[in-house]
Amino acid sequence: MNINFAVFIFVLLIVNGVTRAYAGHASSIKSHFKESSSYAQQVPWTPPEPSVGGVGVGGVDVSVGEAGTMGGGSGGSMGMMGDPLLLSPSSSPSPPALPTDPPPKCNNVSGLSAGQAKLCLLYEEHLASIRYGIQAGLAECRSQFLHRRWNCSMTTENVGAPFLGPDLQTSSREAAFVQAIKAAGVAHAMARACRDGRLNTCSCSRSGRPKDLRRDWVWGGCGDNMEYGYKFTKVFLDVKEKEKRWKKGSPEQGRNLMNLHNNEAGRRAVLKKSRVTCKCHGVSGSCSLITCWQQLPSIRELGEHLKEKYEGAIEVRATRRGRLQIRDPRFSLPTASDLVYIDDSPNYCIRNITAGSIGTHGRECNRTSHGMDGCSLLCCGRGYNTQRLVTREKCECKFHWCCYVQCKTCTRNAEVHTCK
Amino acid sequence: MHFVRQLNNITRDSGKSVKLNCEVTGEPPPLRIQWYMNEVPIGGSDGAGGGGGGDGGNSEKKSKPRLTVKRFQSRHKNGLGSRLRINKLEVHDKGFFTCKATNGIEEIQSTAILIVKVNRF
Repeated sequence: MNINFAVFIFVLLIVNGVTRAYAGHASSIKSHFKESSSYAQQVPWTPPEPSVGGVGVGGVDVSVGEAGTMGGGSGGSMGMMGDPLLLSPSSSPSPPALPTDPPPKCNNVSGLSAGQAKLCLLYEEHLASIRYGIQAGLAECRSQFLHRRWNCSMTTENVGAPFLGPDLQTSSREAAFVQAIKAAGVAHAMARACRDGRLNTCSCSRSGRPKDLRRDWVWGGCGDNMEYGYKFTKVFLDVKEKEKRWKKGSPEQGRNLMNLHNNEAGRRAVLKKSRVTCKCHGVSGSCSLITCWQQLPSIRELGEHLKEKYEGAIEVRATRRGRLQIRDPRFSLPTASDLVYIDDSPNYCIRNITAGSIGTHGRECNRTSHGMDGCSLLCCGRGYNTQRLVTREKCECKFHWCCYVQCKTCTRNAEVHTCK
Repeated sequence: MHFVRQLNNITRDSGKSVKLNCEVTGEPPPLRIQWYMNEVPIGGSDGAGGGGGGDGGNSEKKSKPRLTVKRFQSRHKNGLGSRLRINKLEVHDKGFFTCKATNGIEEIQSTAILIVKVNRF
């Protein structure tokens, strides 16, 4: 299984003590790590991973429920290895609803690069899932950064409506997160679309049985096709970053390398957070038969994971040799799952559209919180306006036989604080 | 300058291999042939262009690269040939393959679509 992926040369990091340079780009990456075969055997599908304990199966969930429906959330859960994890319903909750809009067509989507436009023609039936994945990723971004000075706003948002979502102009830590969460969203959406039979080119996961799965448990429920999601995303999103040959070490080339690295981190988050999920069958949960399959994480789990990576993102710069190099040699080198960024973030307190900040003026804040959502921090010390809102709403409603409902009208006072 | 043969669209089963030949001739003689996969330059001096589809890179010495570009001798006068070969085709190798040739004065190109069929899911 793993042999196929020997060609994936992800592994970074040439540590020879002098150069501490690494390439953020798969085809120019060398490894001094051996592929850990014992590790790979545990994992149904994984690209080679340099760091110990990298991509892997987070654990095994077993849901005890009635036979039939897959992954229904009823019943208890038991762990197989390590701590039992929470039950994960088979359809992870994702912010936007499943695609109901008319399926997008290649001739009316905007913002694709030349290579993506060509690939689009070959993958047109993937478009609805791509759109869904991008939107789900961006919705998760807004949710993760809801109370931060940067709340996942993008100043380029109003300029057209690029199919692959807006990007941040500055090659900042925030841009790294946006790039990764979009890649993760697309890989996630594709893996699920395969499983659900929405694409002609893929189906349920064919990943191999984990070595450490209990012998009497059946492997082979219809799992999410992480491998397809990963590979498709790699082809479709990465092509954009490789088309133009910028001068080595230029900001444009640096951004391309940064995007490639962060795309990879996003895709890997999906693999890393996926896990084996099992379900009991049999009369009233007698568990006479247990089937297991590979299951995607929820978008929320991806968001939380990447948010952690955002907090620990590593500052790099593009060298004249066309590689990324870590800025501060005291820090450890980034792995393929880490986020990297090149530029300092703009001051998100102040509105500066060209730098990519809309400022925090007008943002609602929490007067009593000392956290990031509190008025003092969110408003950057500028103070806040308080608005008293009196709302009248129906309350204490009673049902009378037969048949009408009688309500009283209540007035409610609420205070809304917004940054100056 | 002209193509001895234009590239033709190809359909192959996954797991098989494929060869694309690009042969040009003309006056002044062609100097260079560059391959592109979905607009991404394949191989060449710039490491950033290598790999095309991503995983066919030529930087790993130990494992044989799936994607190789080799020059071949053209039998035509003032001819130049280049062969793109992809082994163990995967579904995601499907794409637009372009061969661009230049003699320093003009540039010509030919494009083919490679379709990779899945035998089983």
